[in-house]
Amino acid sequence: MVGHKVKLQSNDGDTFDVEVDIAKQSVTIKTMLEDLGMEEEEVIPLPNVNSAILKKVIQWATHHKDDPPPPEDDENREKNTNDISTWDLDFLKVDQGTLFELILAANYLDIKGLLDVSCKSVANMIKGKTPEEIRRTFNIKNDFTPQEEEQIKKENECKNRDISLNFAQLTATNPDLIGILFVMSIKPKDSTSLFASVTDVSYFHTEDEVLFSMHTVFRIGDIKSMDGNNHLYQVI
Amino acid sequence: MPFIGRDWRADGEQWTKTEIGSWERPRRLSLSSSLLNVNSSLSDVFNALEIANSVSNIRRFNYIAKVVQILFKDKLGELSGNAQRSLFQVIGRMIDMVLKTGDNISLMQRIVTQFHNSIHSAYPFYYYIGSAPLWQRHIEMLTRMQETIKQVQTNMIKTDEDSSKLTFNCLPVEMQREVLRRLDNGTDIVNVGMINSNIYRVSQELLIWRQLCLYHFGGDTQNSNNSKLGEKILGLMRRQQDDIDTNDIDWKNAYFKLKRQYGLREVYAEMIHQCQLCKCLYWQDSNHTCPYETLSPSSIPITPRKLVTMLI
Repeated sequence: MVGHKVKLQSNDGDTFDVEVDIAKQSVTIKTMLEDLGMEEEEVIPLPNVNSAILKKVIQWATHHKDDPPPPEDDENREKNTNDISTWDLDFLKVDQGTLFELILAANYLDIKGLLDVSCKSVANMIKGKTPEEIRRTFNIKNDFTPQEEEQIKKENECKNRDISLNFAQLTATNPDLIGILFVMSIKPKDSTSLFASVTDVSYFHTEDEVLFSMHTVFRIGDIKSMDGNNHLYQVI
Repeated sequence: MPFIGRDWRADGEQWTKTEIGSWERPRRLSLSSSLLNVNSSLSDVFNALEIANSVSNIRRFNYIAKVVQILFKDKLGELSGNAQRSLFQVIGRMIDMVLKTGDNISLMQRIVTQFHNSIHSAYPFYYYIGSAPLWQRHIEMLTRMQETIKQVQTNMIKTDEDSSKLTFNCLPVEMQREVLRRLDNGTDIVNVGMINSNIYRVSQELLIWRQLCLYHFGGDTQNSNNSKLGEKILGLMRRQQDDIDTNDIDWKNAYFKLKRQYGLREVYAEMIHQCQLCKCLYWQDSNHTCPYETLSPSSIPITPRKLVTMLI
């Protein structure tokens, strides 16, 4: 079937002649040709794709027409966002509007490979950035109220208290152990013992860890039981 | 006196232009240069594997970043002068890459800051090889790199995109979900969720977190949509409260707990391999001409940590 061509028509009227093998990388087009029995002389209309994007898609499909089908282990492969070939990288050096249009087109035409690399390149633009930087990269307005933002930040942030609580709760299964959560407050002006923040040198650099020197003495303010059955206490 | 050098009557050498504009002789990857002798030093191996140039290859960048991190975190005291120079050359090229593409900024900043702090605190450098002025110069270079990266961050004010074009926010939810599914770090998902209420809703979906947990902590389970959740996840659930319904797990919480306990999984697009027959090191994507061609080829991938142990 080499050499047979099909005509693809974009939504602004341009027609493109494409070889059948290349066009069949799109599962949508493949279905239209095979199951719906469309003749190869007919023009296949693609109402959701404009001609500029269709041209890019055909360019990608032509380059990748000899690709082997991807292995079944999709779930793990899709997280490897650096696994993009140099040609694809160059192909995707377009402005953001075009990149997102490519994603939509790949989804409509059901071309898994193109959807994969374009989503991966968007993911690469997100990785490692703070929310404000991501907003600036994609030019998106923040529509949270300050209270909502605070609440989300509290939920998501290192959860300093939650982390310690996790450790204390590990005793829940053992009836002989009691978990105790110490809440320590320090006034640097009044205290004479040494302490330091070890966040930068600690293995867990997402937690704010503070190291106290030995023999630091604390005064206990209050002891409360935190859950009903006296297995967890909080000392302030 | 005739100059001591190659015979001027012979053909000249071949010079090729590199990406950064300088000229260099072609690298002859002869077997002796990539062979792992006991005596081959870090800078030799870096040269043979073209680490400095590979930085521009997106597939190798993460691997090299990890090697650099291990080198300056653990092995700084054992680096010879030449090795220090190679290390700084690689870091310099990485920063050039970051300036060009704008990706990985925070990674580079973290690397440079940690490096700078670890040297700075070690004054007066009794445990490092090299004189004190040399290490002072290293510190200055790192400070300059820090300034460069800070400049990149402040210049990142993106030119205003045409508001009629498509933005990430305008993508349908399914597409946003597809992009989020390709992030392999929970912090990234949380950060992207904080930019907008629409995306926040997508980032809170449990399915994404479930996939993330299974990817990092699922063990060797091949298929992900099944009841065999891998021992690490089951262990965590057993330690928590008593009756956990498998359909009702808070995957987001579970991810962060498991991450602290086990650490994340490291996956690289392209790794360095070692041929088992001739003990040669080479990049996964490049060819390797083994002298023992008659035997069947076999090679093992080398993790960054193993590479560092081999080199030092």
